[in-house]
Amino acid sequence: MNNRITKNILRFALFLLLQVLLIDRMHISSMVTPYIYILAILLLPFNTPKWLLLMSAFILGFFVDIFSGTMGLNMAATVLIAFVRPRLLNSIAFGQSFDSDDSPNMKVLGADRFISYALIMILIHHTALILLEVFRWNEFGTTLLRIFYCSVATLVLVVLTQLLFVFRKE
Amino acid sequence: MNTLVRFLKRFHFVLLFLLLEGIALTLLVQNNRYQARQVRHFYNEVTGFIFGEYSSLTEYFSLRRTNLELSAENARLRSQITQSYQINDRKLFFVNDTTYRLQYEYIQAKIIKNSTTKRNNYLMVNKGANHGIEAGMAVISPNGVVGVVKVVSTNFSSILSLLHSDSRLSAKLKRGNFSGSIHWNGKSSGIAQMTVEQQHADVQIGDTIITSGYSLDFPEGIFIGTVSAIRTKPGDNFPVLDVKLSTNFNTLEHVYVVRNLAKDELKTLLQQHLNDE
Repeated sequence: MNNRITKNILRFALFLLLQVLLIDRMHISSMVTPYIYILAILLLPFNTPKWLLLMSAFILGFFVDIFSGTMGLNMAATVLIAFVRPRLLNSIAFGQSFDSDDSPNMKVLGADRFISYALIMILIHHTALILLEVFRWNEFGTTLLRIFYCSVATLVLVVLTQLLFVFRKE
Repeated sequence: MNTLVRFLKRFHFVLLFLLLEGIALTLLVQNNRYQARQVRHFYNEVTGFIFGEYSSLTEYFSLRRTNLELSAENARLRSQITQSYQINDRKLFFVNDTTYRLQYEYIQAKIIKNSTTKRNNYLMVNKGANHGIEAGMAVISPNGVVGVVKVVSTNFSSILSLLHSDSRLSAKLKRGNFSGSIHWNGKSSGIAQMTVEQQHADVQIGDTIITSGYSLDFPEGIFIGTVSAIRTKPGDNFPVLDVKLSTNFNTLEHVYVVRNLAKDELKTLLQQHLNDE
């Protein structure tokens, strides 16, 4: 139990630092910026209390915002996916029951389910994030394109991380 | 209370979500200038639209009043067009009479700027050197004394109001011919002070004060005001009078600038007199 909490906290810190120290500093392109830190929300155990889900998303977004100087932006988007997560997981699970201490990772969910779960979460997060950042409806085509590119980049990174960390343990 | 607790328990997830999302969005708009501007812009557009629609609805109710106002304005403007005016800018009447010789000429002018609330007040009129105004000329209103022309430009003049610390005006009592000097202590725009030069002058409240005619600029007998208080300092026999000014400086609109046609002659005479001494 304790071990699991520590593990999750460490994961939070790891993805946060990865995001703000590495990815945000690479300045790949304004069109293509992966937001890998949301994986920390994606991988919280099934039985995480709902309020804790929201609070941890809030705090995670807060720290990302502090480092990138966009107060409130990542917070809003991350709280949103934390809100969507329980319902989404329910429908993804399709009635199948999982060990509630497990994380909804690629191994537990299976590749196809995990990728659709991750993709939907990423799309919701990035749409909210980028729309809030752009904050206007003109140039909507460019905004959509940006949401698409960023989502693909994040998804690729998420899948790669899963392949590296989850399957190596076997 | 029980219901409230059950409600909170049941919807705590949604409520917490709304709360946190609200905080995040508030922070976003408060801390990021661009987003804040966009929100304000949107807000302006929305409220502007609503108020615009609202006023286009309510303006029907005030049509009657608007019509009255417009017709009043029409009448006022009609009275301002040139056809309504009698040309009286330079009204000079020459009378070939050997007994009476014209000494004072009056130039009508309109006040375009006026102040009464400062310690040193000025007025501006819409007539200048082009209309024959020169520095030093007296300015009077239909009710009494106003001041003295100080600076003249081509089309405008600045007038040193009587309500100015530099203003000095030679005055006298109409009844007893006691003379004195009018100045203004800055306390009330309706009251000036007069220092009487004769000792034990017989002055009473209500006495009329007029210009003395000793100055080169003011004609004799222009109304200044009436005595409203008499103050005598202990050990001093020269009374100081409070004079309620007859000119209401607050509502002043039209004035006359007075040209003394004999001024040059008088000046020359005075100069010769001083030289001979």
